Amino acid sequence: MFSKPAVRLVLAVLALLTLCLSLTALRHPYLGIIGAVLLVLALNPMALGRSLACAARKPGFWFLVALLGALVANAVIVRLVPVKLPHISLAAEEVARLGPLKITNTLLASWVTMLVLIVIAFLGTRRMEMVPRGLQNVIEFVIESLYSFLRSILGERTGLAFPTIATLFLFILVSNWMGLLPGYLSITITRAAEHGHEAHAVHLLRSAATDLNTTLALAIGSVLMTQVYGIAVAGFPGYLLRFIKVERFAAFVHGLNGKGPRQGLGSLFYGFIDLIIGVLELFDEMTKVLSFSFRLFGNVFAGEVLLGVMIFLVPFVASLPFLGLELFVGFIQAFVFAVLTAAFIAQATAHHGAEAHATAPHHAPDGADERGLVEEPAAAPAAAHGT
Amino acid sequence: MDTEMIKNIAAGLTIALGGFAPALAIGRFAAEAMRSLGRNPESSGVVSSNMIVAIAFTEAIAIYALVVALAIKFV
Repeated sequence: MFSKPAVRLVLAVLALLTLCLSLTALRHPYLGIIGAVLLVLALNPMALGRSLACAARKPGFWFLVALLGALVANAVIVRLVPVKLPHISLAAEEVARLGPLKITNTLLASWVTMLVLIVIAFLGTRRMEMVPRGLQNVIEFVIESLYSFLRSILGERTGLAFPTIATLFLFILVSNWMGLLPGYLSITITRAAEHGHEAHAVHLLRSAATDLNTTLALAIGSVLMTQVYGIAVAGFPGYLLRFIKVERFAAFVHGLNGKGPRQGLGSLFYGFIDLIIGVLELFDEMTKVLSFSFRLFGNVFAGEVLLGVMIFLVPFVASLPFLGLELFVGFIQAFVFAVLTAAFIAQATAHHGAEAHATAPHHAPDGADERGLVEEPAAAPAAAHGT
Repeated sequence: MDTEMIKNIAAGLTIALGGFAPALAIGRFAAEAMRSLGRNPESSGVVSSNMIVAIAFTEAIAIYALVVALAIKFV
């Protein structure tokens, strides 16, 4: 052979490409890839002028062997257990009916999520001890990290809004992650033929957030609770002033009365603009509902479709990185939902001057904030923050 | 040109065009975040969390496009 390793490498790549092309003529999808990996394995020591024993010491070699094994196993298993293209439907499918109430597979999945959360909470708090061990320890870790993170956004209102935000986060997180377990979208039941449609198979369980109804409900709940917290802090008339901004008009009138400094006519003009801005803020709240629900729905539904198609294309191999992606996306979406809710609550409860009586007394689980976040929320005066 | 063909083309174009601007924006977010991290590595916690929130907002626009594409294809 030629002496220089680089030339050998080039020859190896060329031989590999030729083999791939010739094998695709056989119209077998896996032979091409398997042949390519075999070639790379064989040519690896040859191209670099080393022996097989030397190449076997490198981790890259074993990665290729593992990939080869996975592809061969894939080709074998796919002959025995054929994987069908998943039946994708945007709307949730009905699995049972209680009179007029349609029970859909996503509703079942959200019930399962609720059950899991309730059981974990029950088991973890049965015998509470001062020094937590076991499940109580894990739960305390989760709650404490959430609390200290939200404290950087909400400041002194954290105690007030924490239950809502933490519930949203935990529900969406558990629901997204449970949607990746075996059983979701694989167990199907056959619905008997009824008027309107013939007998067909229906998935029994489907991740809860893949239903626009679930995400819409979560979004409406979040925005509604934001308004509730705003009213709790500022009082109903005080909160309405957020949408009917008359401060500049009041300042103008005070200027005329002599109760305050005289304002120019520009203040009147901007007062009208403030009114329009107030109405826009009202519409902003509606847009928040849409944006919350569609963000969560789109991410989880697209992930489900992607996973289904990937599993159909290259079963048992391509699903692994995409399951990892879904784990990550599920966590990020729950996190973003919670953080955005917290930010909007912080915005809604931003109150001029500290109103200590309005906030529920909270004892921050203390210890220094390890993340070193130094940003103060807009409202809380530094003195009350008490780090 | 029947309806099926146009539906397929529309679904593909929706997500392709709709994902273009958010991808550009997210790339710029990440670039600026890297730049500020390079200047001040200690601010990594603050910068990262704010970047994640901003990215989630922009990604939502791409997700709207994806949802419309899926709705065109499957509904």
